[in-house]
Amino acid sequence: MDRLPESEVEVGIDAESAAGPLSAPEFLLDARAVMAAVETVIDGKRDVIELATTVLLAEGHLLVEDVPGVGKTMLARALAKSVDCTVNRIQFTPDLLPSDITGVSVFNQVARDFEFKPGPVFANILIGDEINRASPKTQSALLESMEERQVSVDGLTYELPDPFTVIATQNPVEMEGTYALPEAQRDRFMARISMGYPDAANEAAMLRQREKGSPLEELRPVVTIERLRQMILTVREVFVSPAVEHYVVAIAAGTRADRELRLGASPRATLQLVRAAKARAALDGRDFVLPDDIDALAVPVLAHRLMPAKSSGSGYGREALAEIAARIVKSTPVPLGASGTA
Amino acid sequence: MALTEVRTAPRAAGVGPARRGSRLRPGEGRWAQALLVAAALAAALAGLHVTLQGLSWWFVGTAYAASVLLAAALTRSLVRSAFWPPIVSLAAGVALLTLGYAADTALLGIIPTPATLARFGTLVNSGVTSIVEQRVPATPELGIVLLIAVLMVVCAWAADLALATRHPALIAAPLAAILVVPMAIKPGLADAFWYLVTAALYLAVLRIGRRRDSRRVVLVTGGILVLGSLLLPYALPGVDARDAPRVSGLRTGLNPLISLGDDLRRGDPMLALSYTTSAQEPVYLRLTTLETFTGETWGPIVGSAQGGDLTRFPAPTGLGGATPYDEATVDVTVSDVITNWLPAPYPTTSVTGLTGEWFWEPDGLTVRSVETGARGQRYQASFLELAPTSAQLAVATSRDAPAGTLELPDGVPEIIPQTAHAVADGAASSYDKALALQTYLRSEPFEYSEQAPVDEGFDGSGMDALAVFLDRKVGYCVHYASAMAVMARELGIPSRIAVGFQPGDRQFADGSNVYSVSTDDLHAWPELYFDGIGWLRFEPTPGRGAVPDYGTQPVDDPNTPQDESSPTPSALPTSATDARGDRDETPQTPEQLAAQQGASALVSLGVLAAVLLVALTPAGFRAAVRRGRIRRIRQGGDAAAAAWEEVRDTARDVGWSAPESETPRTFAARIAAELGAEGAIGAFRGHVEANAYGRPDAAALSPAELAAVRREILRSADLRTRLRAFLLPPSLLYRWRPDDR
Repeated sequence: MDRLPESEVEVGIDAESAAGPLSAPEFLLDARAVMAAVETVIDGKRDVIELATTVLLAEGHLLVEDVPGVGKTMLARALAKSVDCTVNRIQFTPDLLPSDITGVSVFNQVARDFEFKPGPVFANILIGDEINRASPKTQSALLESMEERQVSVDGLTYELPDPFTVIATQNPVEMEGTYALPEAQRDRFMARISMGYPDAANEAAMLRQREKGSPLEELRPVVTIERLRQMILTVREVFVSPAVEHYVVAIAAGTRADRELRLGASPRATLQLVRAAKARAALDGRDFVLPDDIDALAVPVLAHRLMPAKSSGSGYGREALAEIAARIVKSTPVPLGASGTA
Repeated sequence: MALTEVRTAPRAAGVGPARRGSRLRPGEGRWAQALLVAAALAAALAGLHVTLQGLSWWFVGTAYAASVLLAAALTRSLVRSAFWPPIVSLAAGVALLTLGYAADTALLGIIPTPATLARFGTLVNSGVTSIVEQRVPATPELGIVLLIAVLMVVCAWAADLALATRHPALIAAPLAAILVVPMAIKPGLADAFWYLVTAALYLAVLRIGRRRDSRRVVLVTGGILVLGSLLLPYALPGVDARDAPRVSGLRTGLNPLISLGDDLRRGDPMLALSYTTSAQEPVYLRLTTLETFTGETWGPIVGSAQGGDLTRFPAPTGLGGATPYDEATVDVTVSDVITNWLPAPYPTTSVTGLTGEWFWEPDGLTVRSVETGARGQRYQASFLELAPTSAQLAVATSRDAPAGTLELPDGVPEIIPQTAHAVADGAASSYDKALALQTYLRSEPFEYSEQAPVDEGFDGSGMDALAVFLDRKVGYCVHYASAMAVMARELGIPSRIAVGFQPGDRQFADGSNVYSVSTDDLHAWPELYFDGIGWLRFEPTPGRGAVPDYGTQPVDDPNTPQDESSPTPSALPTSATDARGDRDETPQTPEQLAAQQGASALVSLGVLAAVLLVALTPAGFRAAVRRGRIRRIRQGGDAAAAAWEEVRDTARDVGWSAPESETPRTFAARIAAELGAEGAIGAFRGHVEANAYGRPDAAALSPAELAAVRREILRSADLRTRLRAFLLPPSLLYRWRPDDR
């Protein structure tokens, strides 16, 4: 990555971070270290790990959706553990209350005042297991903190640590005892991925590995929290050309105009798509975003926000929406210059 | 992923209908297309206005075409079948034609019976005859309108079929079939405006139906249209000069007088016949005589008797024993006249050497045939060279006029009898009156012109045309002959008009005089009747033919050489030389032929150059586009877009798809896979990406690099593909026919 000299002296936005953005080799070294660490736990899921890392570096939240037992939680925990930062995990259940997440104000008899007891949400990485088992009220408490990156309890606002990333897992909506996330709340997740079953060789390898004990126990952090902040800063610096902006806007417009969709991509979706694309570009060693980044991320970033035109009974599921999103991306002309002409 | 596979089946089923929904719904644009096709057919038909009078035929033809298209479109909206609409529309067309033209012969007025077919046959025949016979613009008679209706029904049906089979480009064929009609009838008449309107509507039809057509059909049709419109003007006159019947009016056996002017004006004369004769004077060979003057035109006596014995003709009408004559023969070889009349002298006594069935008509002693044509016949005709004496002529009266030869219709314009009496009243005898008329018409200020009457709108032999002719004093043989015949009747001298050939040019060959008669020697002259002598030929047309020696003034001008085939200067007004000069355009000498060949070689070169120009136009256009892009690359700005468009167009030129929705990286990877190597395109793609999407400080693109990529792509194609990429680059069509995305 060819950094301009002045960008090196730029002071980080975060007060704690003394250092500026990283150079390309430094960034790639650390990013690959994180991915390699996660890969020791999750075998043969390179693309999923890459996407999860992309979301983490793009300051987004990740929704991992799949049937039980394919390693959703394992992925979340491995990613969290490979970075030396505070990690909390919430197992969502139907009887979980909002205060169980955000924390409560309790009356301190000594100080004769209310004292705030922070909940598990106060962490750099929050693992929300089976988020769709919680009641909508509880879900929304988490989702507010995801968007605002702060918690309001009894009229007082508490900042969440930086960076703050939620990695939520959920079972497919068809499963028993689940509350589907409303679209407004799904919209807050930067990307949705599904794990998928491991292939035969990887599953066999996993069997052998697990006999000796969980590899997760042996996972040690490979980057510090400061380093992670620097990496995030590096991603923010990635250049987005007007042509790519045009392209993203055109894709979003395409989803809004499509006859098969009742709800297209929100402006937040375009914003997050560009952010994720910047992270992907950085992970690819580039300092500018290509339309290819957009193409690669459009489906995981957009698909879970779309709503099909017909009732979502059995007609449209994840795959159908992903197909629609892919079709729209494939039919949008790629601009080649600032003028927007293709 | 087993999980997704498990779910694929039901969901895929759910996706199906949604996909169908995104496609073009069947029937969208069908009505618009049918309307456009109807408009295009109507516009093409309107091009016929140069050949037909009035507008009624246009409404009829358009209505029939629209009915067929409407029937097809209605059926298509009711029945989802590819089979029925063409059947129904054709049936509708036939039923409407039956209803319109032969309802009384058909069952329920619309179901054709054998009688209907017979009726149609008759009508079509009369239509064809009428087309051949009439002068352009013709009167739209029933037969002609029926032909137009049939043409429109067939063309509309064919156009609908082309649409139904999703080849809208093919409607060019029926449109061209209609457009070519005026050109075939009279090249140079075609109205370019309606041609252009039709072309525009055709393009509109293509635009609506575009996704359905293969690119090749469009290319081929477009090429044919462009080339055709460029070359047709060159091709058509040639077709006309060689293949069209030369003396069209003669062929029908009806009335050659009407088309005589057209035949004379056609230009580019050809040898009609040649003859040798034992007669003293050059011979006028007659085709037919016209005795009935209707006021509009001259016509033959209908229903005259006929006889088959060509060795013994009846005695000439009115010829008495006192008139001296010489017997003479003429040997005729007909080369290029298409006619059912035999060119024969008057009065013929016998004809030998003919093939086919021929018969004579007693009134005019003309020889004709129903089946056989005169073309190619060689025959000998014996005839009488009448030499009435001056004394005979001086006392000749016209009391025993044959029936109808003195009749004049009502309403003859005043100027005709006025002129006749002013000219001839001083003359003593009937013959002197006739001579006075002839002398008057042959002298100043009368002028010979084939074109002036047409330009000034008094072409023809009718009374009104004659009135204008006598005022303007300019015209050609039809006017002079008709004027003299009508004025003779005013003066009480029976008259008729003969149509045939003037003597032609005399050449001395093989020890005898050979007369060559060209199609420009086609002529009309009056014959006047005198008791005891019969019909005598007169020559009132200045500059044409030879004045008969009994017709010259024996007292005034006794020394005039009268046996000259070409008129002598002393006997003729100056305009005579002009008239001859016109006809001398006939290429006869080797020099003239060489000049003509040179000219045609020039024309061929011109055509070749035009073809080359047309063929290279796409290549030139493509090169201009490329140069424009290289300039954009040099200037910066949208250099990346220009460069990558050029790469994509090059790929399209060699037949690869290059959708605009493909990122440079994906496209380059695909091309690299096609080429089997990363090569220059990989590096170039990197530079283009940095320029298009990178920070503004990216290194400028180099046209040399682009050229290398182009070479790499072009080299991968075979020679044929490269040739096509050069001559007909598919990328030029990309704007109108984008790849499927």
